[in-house]
Amino acid sequence: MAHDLSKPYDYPFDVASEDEIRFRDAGAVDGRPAGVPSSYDEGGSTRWTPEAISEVHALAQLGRYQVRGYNTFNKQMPTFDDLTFVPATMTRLPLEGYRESCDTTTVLGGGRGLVERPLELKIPIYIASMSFGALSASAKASLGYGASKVGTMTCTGEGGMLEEEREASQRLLYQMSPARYGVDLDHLRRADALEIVVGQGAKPGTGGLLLGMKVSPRVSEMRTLPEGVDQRSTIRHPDFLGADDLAVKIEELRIATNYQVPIFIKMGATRPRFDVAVAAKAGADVVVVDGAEGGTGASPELLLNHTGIPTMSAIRAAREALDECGMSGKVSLVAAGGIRSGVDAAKCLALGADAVMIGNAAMVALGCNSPRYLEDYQALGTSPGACHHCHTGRCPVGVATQDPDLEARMNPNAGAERVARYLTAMTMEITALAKACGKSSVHNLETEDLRALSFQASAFTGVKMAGIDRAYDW
Amino acid sequence: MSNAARQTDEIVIEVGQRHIREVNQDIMAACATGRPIRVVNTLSRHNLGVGLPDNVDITFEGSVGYYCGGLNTGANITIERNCGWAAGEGMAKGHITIGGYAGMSCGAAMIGGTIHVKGDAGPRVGVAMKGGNIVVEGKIGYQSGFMAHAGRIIALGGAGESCADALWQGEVWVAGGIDSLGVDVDVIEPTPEEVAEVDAILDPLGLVDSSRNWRKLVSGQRLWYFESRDASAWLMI
Amino acid sequence: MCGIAGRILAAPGRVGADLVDLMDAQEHRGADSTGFAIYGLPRETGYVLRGMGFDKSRQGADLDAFEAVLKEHGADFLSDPKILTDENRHYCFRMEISDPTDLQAWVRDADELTDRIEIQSCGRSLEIIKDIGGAEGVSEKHGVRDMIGTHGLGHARLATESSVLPNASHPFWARPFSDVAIVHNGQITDYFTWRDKLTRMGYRFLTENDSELIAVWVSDQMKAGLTMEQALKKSITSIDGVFTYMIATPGGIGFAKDRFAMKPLVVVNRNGDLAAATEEQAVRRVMTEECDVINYDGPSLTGIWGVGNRSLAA
Repeated sequence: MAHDLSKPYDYPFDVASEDEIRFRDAGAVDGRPAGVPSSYDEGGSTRWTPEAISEVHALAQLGRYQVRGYNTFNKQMPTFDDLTFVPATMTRLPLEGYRESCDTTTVLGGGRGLVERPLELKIPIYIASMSFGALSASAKASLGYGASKVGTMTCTGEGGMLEEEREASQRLLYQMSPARYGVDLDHLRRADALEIVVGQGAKPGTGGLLLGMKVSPRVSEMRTLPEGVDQRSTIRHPDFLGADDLAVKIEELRIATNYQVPIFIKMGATRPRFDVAVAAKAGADVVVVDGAEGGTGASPELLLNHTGIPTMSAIRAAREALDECGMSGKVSLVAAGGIRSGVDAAKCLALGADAVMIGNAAMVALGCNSPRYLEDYQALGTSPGACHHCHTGRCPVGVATQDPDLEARMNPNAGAERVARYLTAMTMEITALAKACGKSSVHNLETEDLRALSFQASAFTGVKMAGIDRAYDW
Repeated sequence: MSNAARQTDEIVIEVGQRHIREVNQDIMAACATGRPIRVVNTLSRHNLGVGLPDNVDITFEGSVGYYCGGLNTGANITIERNCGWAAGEGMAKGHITIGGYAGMSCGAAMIGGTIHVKGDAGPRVGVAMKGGNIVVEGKIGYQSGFMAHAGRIIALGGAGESCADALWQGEVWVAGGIDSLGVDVDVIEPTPEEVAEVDAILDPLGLVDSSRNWRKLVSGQRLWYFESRDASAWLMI
Repeated sequence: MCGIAGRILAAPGRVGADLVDLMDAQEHRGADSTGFAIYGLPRETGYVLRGMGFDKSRQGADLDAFEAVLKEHGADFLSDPKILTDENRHYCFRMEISDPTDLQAWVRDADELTDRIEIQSCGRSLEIIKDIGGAEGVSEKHGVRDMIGTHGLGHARLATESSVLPNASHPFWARPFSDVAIVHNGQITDYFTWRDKLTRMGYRFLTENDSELIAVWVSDQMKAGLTMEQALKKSITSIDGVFTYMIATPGGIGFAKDRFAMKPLVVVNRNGDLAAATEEQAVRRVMTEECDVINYDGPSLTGIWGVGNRSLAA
């Protein structure tokens, strides 16, 4: 409450027109709008790059921070490609990659022995929490059918339980976000697991965001919001204010669901060494750590680019935290954030995750950034492969939209099959690596099966440097 | 320890230091009988009467802890004295009467039904509520109605600081003083028709008083949009 | 992230037993460690010390070094130190000492030994007992239930950003101010800034725990001339984060709550017979009949409860 808006400031002149403020007046050039990096040429300055100049122009035009979808553009984030597997050779014996089996069954939430129905997934991958609102209803249903076909789970995201998704998903994780959109007891009891969200990797410390273009009549009804409003969700839950109260809240949810289903806590990766231990001690059955590379439908850009820690570092810290407080085996660890393939997923398992979840990757499988409807990409000022305009609701391929005409561009049956095939392929990739490392279960991948190709990746994860076989250490 | 050894058909359930899961199993079993339920020796314990079904009449003798009546789907719940945090959180239907003080976040994220607090209510009453009514005979606490989406909070004994903060479409009705308003609040003189609607909620509770000087607090809607015309409003928070 | 409690008896009695009950009821809020600050009947001269050594195999050498520092400051043990050991590596001690010539100078020198042996409370009446585990376990090990006194504090800790070590448990002593102790529920978000400032002023912090700061901060403000009430009020705008804390002196217990009304405090006060806790159900362990409860739920609240007719100045 820093400002008293009842007394607005008056210039001693008329406020300029929006065209004048936004450099659209005299001298403007078609195709080179101010505030977009591609409108500027690279100069000699390493500080004032096209990105830096366009950022200032954009902020000066808007008077607010920029909002966009997708995930981080921060070039300093390490990639999973900085890690490589070291399969069995002479000292170890590999399993036959094309013949022998490798178990992928993944059980989540059974470790405490508290719930009647732990989740048994056939693969160590499930579909991340993406809300109806961020995604279209048919995209949600496609994810559900695709996941069901391969025996895994989807998550509602914060927008409430969509009937189409409940029907499509054999296993559905029901998210209780701080804003509690559409949360009621019936939905809680129809879920296969509950997830209490305390943050997400794309924008830790901040609530969800859904711009007005996507707050359609149906979305607005499910979230009890004015239609077309820019929905900024809370980050603090309304009825607990800390891990100490959360312990009581978890007991409430267990009673409400009659101790049937596991309770997840999902967090953005910031201080996982402490946060994960606290979540485990507060009573979670599963802790989900979402790294800074995690995607989102919309976020202030500064949070996407400049908050959180990389997934690979978060997994190691989270696993060590669970080991230290004696919760490994009792509490399952799920990792997420920037996972693009089975190879990335296998590296997460080796670093210590019990399972991974994919968001962006599943959207891409549905058709995100696919090279079709080029003119609509161009209208958004982008192109296939470069699109990060989920926040606008104008998704050219009908995945991240609430516009019925755009939504119709995604064939839900084909989308489901692509998701199923993609998950199958990812799982084959994981088992291929696991068998090469001599493992009969993907869960037996371990950090020793990895070597780091960069100082950075080694320093972040404690994985030994290739060749020298020591973790980078100061 | 449930026993029906009373002269009425009331089922009495003892809480004391018993495990709360066991207590709630007894309560659910009692609910199935359709008989009135009295829960005694509650000792301000947490999570009593969570997720109760419709057509149940239950009384908690004494004070209860957190989340009492949470996720209620139709039960008529009476808490004779105080309750802790978030009584009736997420409730969809039913009626909760709180005889004394209601702790923080009473009616948090509720979607329907009525909560009637005879004493004062703590901070953030009706936070994130999506529907229903909360009637507080005393004063409502700090930041009441924070980000309420829908529904009404009706305070007969005034309001504390930061009242009706950042509302979506919920309404906060206050008779009596308001210590301070929250962010983005418009104060409206209600029309007689609107007052009649509120009186219709108060009438079954025996709380209608035509001499009240109502103020109706609604969203100023300046935080609803990202548009640059409103960007300065964001500095308020 | 914790449960806290305070208890003032109308007349000296089994305050330890009540605090154990108050903390046992709140164990779900934090079972990493439990601690108690108990104000016994004050002595005229000399101090009671409570603390820990970190390696029981070095106990003899530690105590010899400790005794040497004591003697350098004109003081000595008044009785043989009582040592408590179990399967843990650390050991706990209770000592009675005569008055050092300059208490604060002695604390400064004694703290040179803190990598081996750490004083965790020093007072004419204050004794802080803290250890890993729940209320009953800590009580059984240290005999808390049998401790007699006028008032005290309790704490159940869910470790957040510092280790689950016995010395990082609450309550914290306002080093080097004798007879001042604190318990805190919440997190301080400008902790490292304040800690640096106070360290430059000569204060010493032995843990990474944000709560250790508050006791010293309040005591320092009082040393600079503020009353406890003024210091409590000032803390609300000076320290950032969310908190409900209680600070105890031989005269009573004060509390302060942050400006966002995040962390609860429930109190029953019957003419000086007072129980305070994070949760009402804990208070009801010691006040079993229905009683009027005060919920300090609002923002920016402070208060002070005296013991009998004692002065609150530390």
